[in-house]
Amino acid sequence: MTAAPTPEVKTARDFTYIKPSARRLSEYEALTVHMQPDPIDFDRPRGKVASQEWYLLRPDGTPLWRPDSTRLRHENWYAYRDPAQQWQRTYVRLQEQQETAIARSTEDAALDGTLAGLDRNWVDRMLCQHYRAWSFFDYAIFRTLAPAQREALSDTLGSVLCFQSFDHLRHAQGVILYLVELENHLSGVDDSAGKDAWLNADIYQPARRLAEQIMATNDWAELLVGLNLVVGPLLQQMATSDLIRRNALENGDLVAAHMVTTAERDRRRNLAAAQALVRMVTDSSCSEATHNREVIQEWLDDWTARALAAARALEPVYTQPPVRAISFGESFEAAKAATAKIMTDLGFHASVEGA
Amino acid sequence: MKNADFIKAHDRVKDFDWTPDYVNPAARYPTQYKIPAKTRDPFRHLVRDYCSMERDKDDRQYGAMSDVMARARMPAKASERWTEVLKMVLPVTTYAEYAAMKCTGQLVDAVDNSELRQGYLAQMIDEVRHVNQEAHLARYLAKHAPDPEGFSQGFKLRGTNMITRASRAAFDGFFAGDPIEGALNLQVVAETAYTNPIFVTLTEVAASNGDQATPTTFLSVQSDEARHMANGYATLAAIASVPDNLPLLQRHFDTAFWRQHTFLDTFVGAVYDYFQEERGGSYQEAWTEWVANDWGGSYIERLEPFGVNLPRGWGEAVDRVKWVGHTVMMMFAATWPMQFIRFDPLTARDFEWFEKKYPGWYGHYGKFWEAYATMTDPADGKLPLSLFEAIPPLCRVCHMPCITPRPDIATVRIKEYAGRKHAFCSEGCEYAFRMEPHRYAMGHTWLEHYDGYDLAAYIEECGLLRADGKTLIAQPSLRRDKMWTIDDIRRQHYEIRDPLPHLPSQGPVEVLQ
Repeated sequence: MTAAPTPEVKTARDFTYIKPSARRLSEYEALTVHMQPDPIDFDRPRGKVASQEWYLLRPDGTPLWRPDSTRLRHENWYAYRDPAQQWQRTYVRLQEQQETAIARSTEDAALDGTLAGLDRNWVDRMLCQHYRAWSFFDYAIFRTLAPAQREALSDTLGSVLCFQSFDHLRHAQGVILYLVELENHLSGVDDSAGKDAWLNADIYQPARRLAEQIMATNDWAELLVGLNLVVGPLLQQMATSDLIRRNALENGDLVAAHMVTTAERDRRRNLAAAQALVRMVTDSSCSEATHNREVIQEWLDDWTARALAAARALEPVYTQPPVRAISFGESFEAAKAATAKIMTDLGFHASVEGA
Repeated sequence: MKNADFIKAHDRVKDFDWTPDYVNPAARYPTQYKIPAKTRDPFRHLVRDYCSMERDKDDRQYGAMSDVMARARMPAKASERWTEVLKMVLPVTTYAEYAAMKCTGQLVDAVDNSELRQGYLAQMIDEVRHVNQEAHLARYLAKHAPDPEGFSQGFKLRGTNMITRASRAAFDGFFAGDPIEGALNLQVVAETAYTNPIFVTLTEVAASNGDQATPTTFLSVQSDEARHMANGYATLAAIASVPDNLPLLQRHFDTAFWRQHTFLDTFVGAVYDYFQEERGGSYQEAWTEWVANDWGGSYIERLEPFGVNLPRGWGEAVDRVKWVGHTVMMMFAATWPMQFIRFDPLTARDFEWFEKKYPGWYGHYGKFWEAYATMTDPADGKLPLSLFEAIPPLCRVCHMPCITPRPDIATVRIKEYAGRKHAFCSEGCEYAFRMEPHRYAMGHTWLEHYDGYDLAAYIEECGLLRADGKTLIAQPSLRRDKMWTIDDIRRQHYEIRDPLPHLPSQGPVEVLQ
C-alpha cells in the first residue's frame, strides 16, 4: 500500500487578512481595509502588554484616534464597507467624467448661443444670487468633512468622508466656473451677488446658521447621518434639485441642470454610505444597537428642525425664476415625504412628517 | 477654459470663507501659531483640472501594470534580493501616506485661508491616491512576484514587527500634534527632504534591479509631491512671516527633523544599500545630493532671512547618515526569523562595494556579514542572534534600536521618568521626550511587548509562517532548498529578552518647561 500523496499547499496570492464582504475580495477592500492602524485589535501586539498600542499621544495626552470622536458605539468600525466601493481611482474617474461632461455641455451651450440667450432674470436672480449663495453652503460641508475624515475610526469610513468632502468643493467651485463662463456671453454678470446674499439676505440666514453649525460639528458619524439623511434629501433637494435643476430646464439652462444632476449622483452615493453606517450600528448583531438607535434618532430630530428652518426660509426664491417649474409648497411637501421615507425605512421616527 | 477665465475663477475660490455670526466653533486642533490670512496656494488647482490630471496619471500607471508588465511577467524577472525588501517597504510607505491624509484634514480645519484649504484638499485626495497605489503595488507583487509570502500579509504583520512598528513613531508625527507641527513633519521635512531620495532615487535602484512595477508606481506618486512641497513652503513662509511664531517654529522644526531622520535615514539607508544586486550609488550619496545639498543647502538656507535655521542636530545627522543604515541592517539581519522577508547574504562583490562607498565599513560590519553567510543552512542550526549578547534596547521616542550611529560609538542613554525606565537612541530623541514626556511615556517598545517570549512562540503568535504552517516566511537566504521551519527554530530555545530593566539608569529625565 502506498501513502497518499501529500496535497500541495497552495500559497495565497492575495491579501489574506481582510474578511471580504462578498465572496471575493474586491479591489476597494484590498486597497482600503486596514490601512488605518487599529490600536485596539488588528495592529496591537498581543505580547505581554494588555493596553492599547500608542506611539505618540496628542499634546493633551489623548490617543490619535478616540472612541469618543462619535457618540455612536461599535466593536469593529473596520467592518464598515462603502456600498459604492469607491477607492481613489474609481472616485477620481467618476468625478473626471462628470466634470468633463459639464465642461463639454458648457462649451456647446456657449457655441450654440444658449448662454447668450439666457433670460437675465434667471441669470441674475437664480444663478448669480441663489446658486452662488448656495456654493457657500457646499463649501462649509467640504470644510467640516476634511477634519471629520481625520477623526473617523476606520479607513473605510475615512475614505467615504474624504470623497464626500471633495464632492462638495466640486459643487461649490462648479458654480464659480459657470458664472465665469457666463460673463463671456452676457454683460454685467455679478458674481459677488451670491456672497452678499449669503451674508446678508434674510432668506439665507437660517441656511447660514445651519452651515455654521455644520462646521462646528465634531462628531464625524453625526455629520454623515445629518448631512446625508436629512440635509441632502430635504434641503439640498429643494435648494439645488428643485430650485436650480427643475427650473433650469424650464428656463433653457441645460448647463445648470446638468451640474445639479451630477451633484445628485454624488448625493445618492453619500446617502447609501450613510444608510450603510446606520444599518451597521443598529443591526441586532451590534451590542450597542439600542444606544445607537437613540443617538441617531436624536440627531435626526435635531437636524430635521434645523434643515426645516433653512428650507422654509427659501420660500421667496421659488417666485424668482422667470418660468416656474415648481411651487414652494410642492417642493417642500415632496422633499419632506422623501426624507421621511428614508428615515422610516431605517426604522426611525420621522419628525419631518407633518412639519 | 481660457487662461484669463481660469485666473478669474481661481481668484474667486479664494473668497469662500466668512466670519461666522451664529456659531463660533471651538478649534478642533488648537494651534499655538498665528497664521496670517494672506497666503498663497502656488499651484492654483481647481477640482476640474485636478481630476483630469490625476485620471490621466492613474490610467498610465495602472494601465501599464495590468497590461504589458503583467503579460511580460516582469515582476518575476526582477532581482529577488530587491523584490523581497518591498514586503516591508510598502506597508511602511503606505502608512506614511495614510498619516499624511490625516495631516491634511487637520490643516483644512486649522489654516484659516480658503486658498490653502483647497490646496490641502487636493493633497488629501492625493494621499488617498498614494495609499491605494502603494497597497495596489503590494497586492500586485503578491500576485506576480516569485514568492508571495510576506506580500500577502505585510499589512497584518507591520503592527507586530520591530522595524515596521517604528514607522508609526515617525509618521504619527504628521498628525498627532499641533497642525503646523504636523505640516513641518510631513510637508517640510518628510516630503521636501525625503521623497526625492525615496521615490526618485530608490526607483533608480529598483529599475536597475529589473523591477519596473515600483518605479511605475513611485514616480507617479512623486509627480504629486511637488505640489505638496509647495503647500509646505507656502505654509512655512506664512508662519515664518510672523516673528512671534519663530521660537516655537524652530522647536517643532528641530524635533520634526530628528523624528524623520531617526527612522527614515536608518530604514531607507538599509533598504537602499543592502538590497541592491546590480549595484549603483549609495544611500549616503543620494542623501548628500537630495537632503544635504538640495534641502539643507538651498531650501532651508532660503528661509534663513525669515529666522528659520537648519534644525538642531543637523551636523550630527550628517555624520550619522554614514553609519546608521549599516548598524540597523545588522540587527535587522541578525533577527531575521522575526522578520517577514528573505535575506540574501552579502557576496565578495557587495563587500567591495561597501568598502568603496563607506571606507571603514569592513572594520565595523564585515565580520558580522562573513559569519552571517555561514549561518543560513538550517541543518547547521545557527542563528546570527547568537553573535550578540543581547538585542539592544529600543528607543522610547523613535522605537529604533539604541546602537546607533555605530555600536562602538552608540549614543544610547537610559533615564527614568514616571516610575519607568526609558532608553533613548540619541540626544535628539531624549530632547523630544524632555519637551513633552507625557506624549511618549505610556508607549511600549516591541521588546517590552515580547520580553520573555520564546522565539518560536513569537513566530507562531504573529503569523510568521507560510501556508504549510511550518516553514518560516522569513529566511536567512534566498535558497528554496534550505528553508527554516518552526521546528528548526524551536530547537534553538532562543528567548527574546529586553535588556532595559537590567541596564543602569543614568538618572531622571530632566523635563524642559
